[in-house]
Amino acid sequence: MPAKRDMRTGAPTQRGASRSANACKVVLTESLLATDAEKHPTSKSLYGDSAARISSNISMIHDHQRLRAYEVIFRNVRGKTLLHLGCGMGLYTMLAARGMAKMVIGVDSSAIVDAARVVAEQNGLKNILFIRGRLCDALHQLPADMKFDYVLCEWMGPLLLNERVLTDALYARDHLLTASGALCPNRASLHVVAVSDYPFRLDTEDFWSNVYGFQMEPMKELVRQEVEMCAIPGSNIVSAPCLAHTVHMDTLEGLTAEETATYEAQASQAAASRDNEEENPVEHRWVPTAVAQRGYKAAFTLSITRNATVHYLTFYLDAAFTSKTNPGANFVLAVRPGGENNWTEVSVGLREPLPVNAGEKIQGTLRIHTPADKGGKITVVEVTAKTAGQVAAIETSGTYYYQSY
Amino acid sequence: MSSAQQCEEAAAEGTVVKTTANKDYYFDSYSHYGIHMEMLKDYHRTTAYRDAIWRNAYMFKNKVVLDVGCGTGILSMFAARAGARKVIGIDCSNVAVQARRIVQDNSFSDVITIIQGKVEELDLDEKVDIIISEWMGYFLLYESMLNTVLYARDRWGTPDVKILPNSANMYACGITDPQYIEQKFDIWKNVNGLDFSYFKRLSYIEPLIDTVDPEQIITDIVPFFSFDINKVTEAELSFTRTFALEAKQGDFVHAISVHFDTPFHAGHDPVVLNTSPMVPPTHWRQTVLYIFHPLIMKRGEKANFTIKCVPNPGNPRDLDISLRIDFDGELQACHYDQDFRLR
Repeated sequence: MPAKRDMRTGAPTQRGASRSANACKVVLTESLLATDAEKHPTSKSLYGDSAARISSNISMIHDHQRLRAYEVIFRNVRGKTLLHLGCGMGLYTMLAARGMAKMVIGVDSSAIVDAARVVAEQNGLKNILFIRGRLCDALHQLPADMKFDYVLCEWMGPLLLNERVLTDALYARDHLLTASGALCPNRASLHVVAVSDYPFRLDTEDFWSNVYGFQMEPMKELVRQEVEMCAIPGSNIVSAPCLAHTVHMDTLEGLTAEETATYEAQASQAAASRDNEEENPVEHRWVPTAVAQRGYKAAFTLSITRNATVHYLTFYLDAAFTSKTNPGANFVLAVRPGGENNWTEVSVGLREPLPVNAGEKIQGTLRIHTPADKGGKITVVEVTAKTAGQVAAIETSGTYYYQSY
Repeated sequence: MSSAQQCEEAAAEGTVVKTTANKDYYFDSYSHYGIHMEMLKDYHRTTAYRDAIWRNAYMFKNKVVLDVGCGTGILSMFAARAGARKVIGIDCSNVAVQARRIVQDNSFSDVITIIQGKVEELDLDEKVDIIISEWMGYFLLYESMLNTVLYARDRWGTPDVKILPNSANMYACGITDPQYIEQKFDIWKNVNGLDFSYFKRLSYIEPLIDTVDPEQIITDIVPFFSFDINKVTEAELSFTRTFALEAKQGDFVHAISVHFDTPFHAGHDPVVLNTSPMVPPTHWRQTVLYIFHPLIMKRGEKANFTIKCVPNPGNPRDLDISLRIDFDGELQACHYDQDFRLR
């Protein structure tokens, strides 16, 4: 009896183990090699083209507020034409195509559109075309006399008019829309808040007073003149936001006759050369539009919410779409200081901190413009701000530079 | 890494410092302070150079020093304070404007000369005894200024010129990273109902510069490439090397983490600048190469790798990295090649 039991227990164990080991072992030999196309882009082409990095596109997946906003467009796009300027990875472009649009065209200077093209193909989207370059490089690839029911374009920069795609948006608005067509979003506003952040001041400015025993005062000026782009914690915000300036795309002055001629000359040149794929559009020198060069002036009043010292002014951007034909398609990409925003806010460091009481008002002025030199990379922000004098009567002013690539 | 990007930008812009109106001055002298602050606040990086210089101050007495890519001038001032007779700091970005003033503010004008320009266009009165440079990039070689240092060595160094740091070593280890795989790779499988798998594939080509937690390391850490900066040639920086990683515990290996160290052994008192995940992070962090097929390793199993690293033909600042993976474990066999692009 014992002998039989031993035999029975032994055999199944061996057989099971053997089968298990064989079944679990996986053999993998598929390689991942760069294709010829992938071998072509280089840092020179990615310099200033951060959107071409796959990892930088992940935030778009998580941007639910934008997706919900634009979804109303995608739901009304059946049978219509849509042009997406600055389409990036093409997520919204493809959602529009999937919404049974008649034709969707995505344009972006970034190399990421080459990848978007592959994705669209792999998803069987045939009513979509991706073009790498600027809109003027793409005009000759559009069907003749093509007009769009929608032009989707986030033409607003962190300081409203300092986004280079603004030129393309204005051209599209004036030349490529159908009679009832809409540019979306069509409004953007700049909001100002007061920020108290003494530790950041110490960390970025006073740091240079003693660097391993050496003083580096000249670096402080670089810090002071910089427009800093980073999220501000809610605990540092000490005023209610003030809406300082709004741009209505429906009424914003368009390209000048000269600018339009230049634009169309570039389009003709692009049509003639047909070598667009070999050039790197990101490196094209950009001249800001006349309206961006002139910029705008604004006044603001900040109601202080608690006793504090104000070290920074922070600017938030919102965007909105108001449809003339379909009020149900309206949306607002709203501002929430201290929370998650659709654009990262930018800040300027006041030359003189402003000590204020709760209830006190800071009054100030802004002038923001983008000069043509430096290839339009620099936007100048001139700020004045003064207290009401409850703690101390202080007026401060400064000029700051925002650099984009 | 120091000022490399700004060098490129300044060169592309053809920027020259002008003595003009205040407004133009700011535009021309504009250079982002953030990159310099990041490097200076990297305490380990900066004190490694400082200590290598000051603990071997005897080496600097009455010597001529060249600081390649001087940035804010911090290394030049370390060298001057160590007793150098003459220090030449060269940087082609506009931060040279600030560096000149910083040197003046710290009373080193009679010792330190700051030149804005390229090392290749340098014209000196005499050979230099010591070359110092913070040339290291991510993955040691990405956007590094090492080629410039080698040129300076050959063109301006005395026959027995001392270089700080004087050598460099690269290391690899296998890490587990299920969270990143899920959040940055697998997320592309379904985006609002669209199949973005192609983006997942492209993600594998991009190495990640990030801090690796020591607890993620499941293999040993092995050196795979070393060189002496006094002797190395530019051609030798394109390399193919093999290494083996042994699992110290059973787990998935999702990626290979690469780091480097640079010994300063030119003087009698050695200092080592180390970017290992086992020490507090420097601004170089680690370079993580996510492998297409994660390895399922049991403790004691070994995987063999061949790594090839060459500058991109189109842009030498970029690196093309190829990895051959051969693993034959109890649970899995992997034999495949993978390309990475550091750009």
